[in-house]
Amino acid sequence: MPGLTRQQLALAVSLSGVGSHPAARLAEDPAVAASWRYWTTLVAEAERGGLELVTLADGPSEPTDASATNDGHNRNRPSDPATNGRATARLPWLDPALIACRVAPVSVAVGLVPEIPTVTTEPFFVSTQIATLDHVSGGRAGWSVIVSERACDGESVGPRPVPPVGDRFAEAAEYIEVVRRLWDSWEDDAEIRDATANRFVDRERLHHIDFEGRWLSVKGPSITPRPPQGQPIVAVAIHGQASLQLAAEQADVVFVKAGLGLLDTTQRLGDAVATAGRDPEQVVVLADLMVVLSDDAGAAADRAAQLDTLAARDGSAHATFAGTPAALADRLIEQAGGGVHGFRLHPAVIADDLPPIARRLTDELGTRGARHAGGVRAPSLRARLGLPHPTNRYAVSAR
Amino acid sequence: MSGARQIHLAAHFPGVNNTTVWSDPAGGSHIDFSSFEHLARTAERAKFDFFFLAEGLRMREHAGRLHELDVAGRPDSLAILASLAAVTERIGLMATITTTYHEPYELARQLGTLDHLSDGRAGWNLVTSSDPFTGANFRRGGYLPYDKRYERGEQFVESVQLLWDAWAANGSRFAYDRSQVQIAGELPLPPLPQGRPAMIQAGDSDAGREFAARLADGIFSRHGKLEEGQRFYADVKGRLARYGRAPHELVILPGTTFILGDTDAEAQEIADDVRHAQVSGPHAIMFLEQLWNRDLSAYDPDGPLPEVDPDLSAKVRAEGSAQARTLQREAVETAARWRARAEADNLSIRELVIEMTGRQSFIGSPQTVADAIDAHVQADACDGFILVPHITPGGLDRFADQVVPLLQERGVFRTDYEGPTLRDHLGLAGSRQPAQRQPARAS
Repeated sequence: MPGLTRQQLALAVSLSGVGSHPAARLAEDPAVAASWRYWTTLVAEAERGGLELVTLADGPSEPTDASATNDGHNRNRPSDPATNGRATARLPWLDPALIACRVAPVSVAVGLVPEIPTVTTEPFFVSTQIATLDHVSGGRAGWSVIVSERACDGESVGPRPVPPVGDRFAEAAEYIEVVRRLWDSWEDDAEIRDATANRFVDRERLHHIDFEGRWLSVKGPSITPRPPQGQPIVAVAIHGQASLQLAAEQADVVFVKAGLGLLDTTQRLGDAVATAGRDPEQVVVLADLMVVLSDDAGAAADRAAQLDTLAARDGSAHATFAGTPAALADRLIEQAGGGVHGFRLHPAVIADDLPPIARRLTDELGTRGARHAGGVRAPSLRARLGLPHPTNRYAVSAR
Repeated sequence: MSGARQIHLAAHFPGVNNTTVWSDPAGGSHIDFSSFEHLARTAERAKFDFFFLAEGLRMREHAGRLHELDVAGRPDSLAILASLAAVTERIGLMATITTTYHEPYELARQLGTLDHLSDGRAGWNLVTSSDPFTGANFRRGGYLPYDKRYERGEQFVESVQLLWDAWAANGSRFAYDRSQVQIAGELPLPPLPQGRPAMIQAGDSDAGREFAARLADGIFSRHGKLEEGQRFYADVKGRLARYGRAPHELVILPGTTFILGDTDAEAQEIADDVRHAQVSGPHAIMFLEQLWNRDLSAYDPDGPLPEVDPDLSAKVRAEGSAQARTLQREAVETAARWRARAEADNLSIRELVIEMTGRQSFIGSPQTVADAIDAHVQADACDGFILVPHITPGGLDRFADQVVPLLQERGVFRTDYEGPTLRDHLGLAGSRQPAQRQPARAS
């Protein structure tokens, strides 16, 4: 297999504004996040470290003051209390799918996985945008599915009905199914260019998807030829039973919270995957961990404490590690196994914590035999994660 | 020289239709990024105003079956433009966007993002549609009645501008509530490099022209021929004063194809070959079926026209085709006219269709084509052209190498970009932006 062996840790990084810690925007000038130069620099850093993929966040993982009360943004994480009225710098937020497209031509190996919400968007556009990203990047695209559970998140579209909060995961299941069918709606060899017969495509290899669900009906076929990966990666983060069920049915990559309860979650996920009739070997589980890194363990702890003080709260949406890259390597190896194939690290402050991941942690893991030195070159993100090239559900095998 | 009007040029990526000759040995991929990169870089090397993408959100069908004859398959427009921003530096990046199936919030966010990612080079060509055939791919379906198209279009533009202004005006929050757009929330997008990305528009009805005169920065016009172009130009530019706008604040750009040869005679020969490649026998029958609304597959494309009349009772065979809808309106009369023309000139079905479907085209040596383009602009028929090459991706190469230098020599086309943004290229840098405009008086 060209991808990671399962003894090797898969490594992903979440790129979320200027960092995943709620106080990151106080530690770093947030205005940089509106410039393409910032994003190309970060992705180059991720490639330097040989990371499997980066996720690009759709919005802050914890609401800003403004969004805590009136928010058009789309989060699948429960609302946290506002930051006690503390003034926060304005944090720009560009569209993550287009950031991924912007960095694709200037990167070569790292997977590009933007977060895109379901409730407010069209599955047809998500399908064609991710397929386009896959074509441009040569098979490095994925989609991290965001399912908003806040009522107000439907207000940015309209007039049209938005599913009530309790039905949003049911709608998301339909949504992902539509996107997956659209990706398959062109067979790989649909473009025949038969000049003698005046036929550019063979309509027998193009398929209406005819999806008729409770929430969505989409005719198809896609306007975009099948992406190089066939099915780009679909990622779902687990934070409750509904998201676990969705992940079990539809996800290639699953994000779970590191720390207490991890083993229990992965066991329940494995059971649900099997119940859904899927092969648990074809689901890659990455544990989410926020990191504050320094070559000096004490300095890392101090910085973590400072950030928490700035944010004026305890804890965060993610489990947190503060320490040296070497200690983090030990910790990751210790927590892997038991159904966890790797980690998605959330740099608390990207400017401070991404370079140690890319430059030090990966070396430390390599020294311990848990990473190939210099990462892995593979023909696609799927291959890199050890996932097979999927057969097309519409393809007629005997033609 | 210095008094001559400056020409605006743009490059249309070859379309998903029969203008594009995919069977030419030089015809490349319509989906590989390298094709988009080649054409965009060629247009940028030639100092064009912008690179242009059409939109088609449902695969074409004819008589209930997917269409096989023409190029099919395209990327998402905003996604591929974001990628092109990485391999170009100055050229504008323009996507056609229907206001019917896009949401103002998503469009404002994505087009605004493209403007940031390209340092001010984003643009959009707004179209309105009410077509339930395409709607079958979207949540909204075919919900929008024909007469509500511009109502939604106008509210779409208004709400998108509100969204772009939200950062500065209301701490990123927005609320908009009218008949076709009802939205509220937060869009944390800092002010765009262009303020507002350039917006052109393609409507041709009276309502469409008025819409453009009030809100658009340009028109993708269908009137490329000299005299009809002059009438259109005078009509639309004449509407601008009503909104307190100067004539140069709305750039009129017809689409046009072109064929270059070493001599005019050679170009005409090539053009004849290209037209026959664009209109094959099956194409000719299919086109005739759009008008006749009947199965004409038994007819010989090299034989005479059908003697039966169009069938007005049946469902339209080419769903989603604007061309077919137009043809259907006066089908019997049009068929009679075509039959008369074919008989008078002794034309076969295929030859007739080649005659009837020819679009605006400049055919000749580089000198002839440069002269003709310049003549149109200097005679107030347009401000320039959106050029549609018929071969992907190299169809603009020769124009860039041989026609553009002639236009530059005569001082009617830039030898380098003067500013960084698309609005700069279009000569709109100093113009007031649409939201600041009000009608001079109530009409």
